[in-house]
Amino acid sequence: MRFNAKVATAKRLLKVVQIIMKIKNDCILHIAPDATKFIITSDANDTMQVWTEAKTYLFFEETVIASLNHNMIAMQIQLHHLKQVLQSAVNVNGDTLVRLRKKDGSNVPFLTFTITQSSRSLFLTQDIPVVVLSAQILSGFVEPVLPTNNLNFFMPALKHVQNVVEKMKNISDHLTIEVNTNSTQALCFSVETGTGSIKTFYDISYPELGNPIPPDVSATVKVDIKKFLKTLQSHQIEANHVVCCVYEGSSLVLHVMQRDLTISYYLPLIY
Amino acid sequence: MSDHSATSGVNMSSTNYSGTGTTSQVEDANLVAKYDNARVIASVLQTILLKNKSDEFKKKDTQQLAIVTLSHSGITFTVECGKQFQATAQLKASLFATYMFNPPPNEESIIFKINLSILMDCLNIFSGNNSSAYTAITIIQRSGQPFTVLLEENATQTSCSLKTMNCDAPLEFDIDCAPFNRLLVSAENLLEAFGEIDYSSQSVNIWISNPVPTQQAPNPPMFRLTTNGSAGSFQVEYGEELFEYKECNKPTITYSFPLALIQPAIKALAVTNKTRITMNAAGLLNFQHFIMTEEKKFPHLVEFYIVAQQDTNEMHMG
Repeated sequence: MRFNAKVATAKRLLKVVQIIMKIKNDCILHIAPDATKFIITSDANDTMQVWTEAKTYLFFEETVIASLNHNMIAMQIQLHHLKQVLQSAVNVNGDTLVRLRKKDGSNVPFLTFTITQSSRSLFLTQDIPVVVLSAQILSGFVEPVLPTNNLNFFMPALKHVQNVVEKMKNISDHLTIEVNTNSTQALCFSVETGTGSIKTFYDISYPELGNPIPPDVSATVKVDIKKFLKTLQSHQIEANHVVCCVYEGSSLVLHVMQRDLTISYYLPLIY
Repeated sequence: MSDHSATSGVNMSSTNYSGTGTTSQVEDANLVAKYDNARVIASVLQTILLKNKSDEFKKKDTQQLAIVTLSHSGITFTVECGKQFQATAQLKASLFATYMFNPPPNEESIIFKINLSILMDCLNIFSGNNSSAYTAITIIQRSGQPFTVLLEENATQTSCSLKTMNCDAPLEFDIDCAPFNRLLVSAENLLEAFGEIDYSSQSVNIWISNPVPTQQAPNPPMFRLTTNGSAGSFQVEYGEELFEYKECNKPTITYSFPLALIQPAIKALAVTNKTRITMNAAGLLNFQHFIMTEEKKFPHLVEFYIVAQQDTNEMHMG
């Protein structure tokens, strides 16, 4: 098993790490020659999953990777360690090399980062302990498969929605998201208590997935408002598109998409 | 008078709502008021919102109610704490671009209670985005329907429905029932004075005296604040020069007030230009704050009444 590479743009990788860290610190980093994934998942049914997939070139250059499992390597990693290393890399403005190795004859694997500042020959070495996952264990992690009957739309600017939902958080723990293709303002976020309710309506557009959107379709789901707010932190990635998929009775999924990079949030629903 | 209404009874669906309010919604309405800058209204009402984000409790557990009075002269929001505290903010009819008030026959005003905390979250819903964008606001009240506030910023619309609850009319405090001492002071100066006291103490004693300069004391004090707390005794004293105007009908009036009931008036000084403080010989304290907002045509008036503590009554009739 071998992995060594140069970190392509530490700032970009750092941003992704900072965003997904808000969900959970434990993560599975899955590196392959073409695609690199960050997987945040859990056993409990009511928690959020985050699957981030990017073309490897966005994060690593001059990649040398070899393993018995189709040259894929998966490891459990603590994101706050990774964030710390990447922050040093961003500050130093030099080259950051990374490799997977075992230290000093022990059997414990580490992801070792070496940060070199060319002008002053400054070396920084940081080792992050990781747990390498076997192919068998890795095969147990599967991105959620969802039913085909869903309603997809493009989310309005996440930062705008974040500001609105932040205020709604003061009123209730539960956020209702309603889409009604019949309306001119098809998307509605709302919160309600015994003494009042607030509803905010947005104009939205829809991704053309080969089929035109039927005119009279609606879907309503309820989510935990704090979990939903966490997904909106991804506005920092300045995505090209954010597609929201509503699976009534199942899940709410947000795909935050940039070129060759997608962060997918799978949110459980409240009934 | 409006009675209880269900929050689900909002009279519009997203398909009909056009942002300016269709006439089918405003027919039979008791009140339709429109204004182009929700921020101005938010900053006025913020001064009477006692429970704010700095509370340790989760905000939805400490919801604040307010009495709303609709009349020909405007919309008044009143917050009361027992019979010892009252804060009032009025949005004058002249503030609004449109103000149509049609009360039921033989009624001059409509009074009900709403959740002010939810209203504030709604008024601020678009704040924090593009600070220069204006949010248009429409307020609609119909008998038997929730109090409705509609906000529009560019292409996004927010609708807030507040259940209206029966309540008594706001308390009427009469400052003129006893002789009073009155001062007009800039908010900045008063804020400085109150900045000196010890907020860990339970109460603050306010002393207003008619200064009579003598040869020995050419600049006698006219305003004094005293606190006695765990940190000891603090006193701050100011002479006549701090105040723009004085009217003293009694040589000295002094009373103690619970500090917690004074604090909202002090906090509101941050957005106030000038304030008029009046304390009467019966122990009633009044602040009339002239609030500054983005809208510069006229200042908005926010008023506070606080009743003195009974057990530490000190009345100097000099």
